[in-house]
Amino acid sequence: MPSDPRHESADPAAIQPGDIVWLDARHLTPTRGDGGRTWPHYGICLYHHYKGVLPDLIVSGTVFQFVCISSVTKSNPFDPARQVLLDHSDSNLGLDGPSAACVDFAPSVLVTVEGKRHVLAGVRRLTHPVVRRVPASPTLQAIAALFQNYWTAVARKTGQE
Amino acid sequence: MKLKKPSPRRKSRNLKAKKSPTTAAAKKTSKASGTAPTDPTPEEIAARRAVARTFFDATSAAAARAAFLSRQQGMLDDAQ
Repeated sequence: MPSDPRHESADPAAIQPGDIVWLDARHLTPTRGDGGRTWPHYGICLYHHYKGVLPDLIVSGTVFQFVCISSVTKSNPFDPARQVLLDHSDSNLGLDGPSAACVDFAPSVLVTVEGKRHVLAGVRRLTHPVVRRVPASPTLQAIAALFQNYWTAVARKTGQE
Repeated sequence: MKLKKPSPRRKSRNLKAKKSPTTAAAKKTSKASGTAPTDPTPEEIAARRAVARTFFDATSAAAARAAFLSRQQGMLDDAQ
């Protein structure tokens, strides 16, 4: 964990879809339990978007979409309707035990300006010993497909479509 | 003069001493799968970007963002 999480920020241009990052608790709003605060989580970047499109250039206000990684335990069992299992034996993911990407636990972080550079405040890239990430196929595909289905259904229900 | 052949034990000790901290960390991380972690290649990054382009959908992205902002607002309201 960083020494001072309040000042943790990542270069948005360095974060690619599928990268696993550390997300400060300030970005996280739990979807289960009593709805209180939670602790920092690892998250997977899905994409970044701006005004409804995937831009080539990153500007202030660009939204980075993440899905959080949760441990799969007896008290928190795998839910295929909202989660994609991750291969914790894949050393590129750097996970300690059974885990899943939760598409309903999906924080988004805005690009801001700090000094003269664009930053994602409260986000840290994980690059030791290598860039931690999920593979494009099948993992990122499965997460992105489930995310799209899940949130399209929510949009239909709430009349956002 | 015939030189004495170095013992295999000594040779392996020298190799151990040359290991970098990065190699040691990589070995530790790879314990579960038996394969060492690798840095992403440009092709791999391109493949992950292609997945993002394929599955990006403005409606679902907006719904996720709206739900996230609504939960954050709820937390702020509870705190006040």
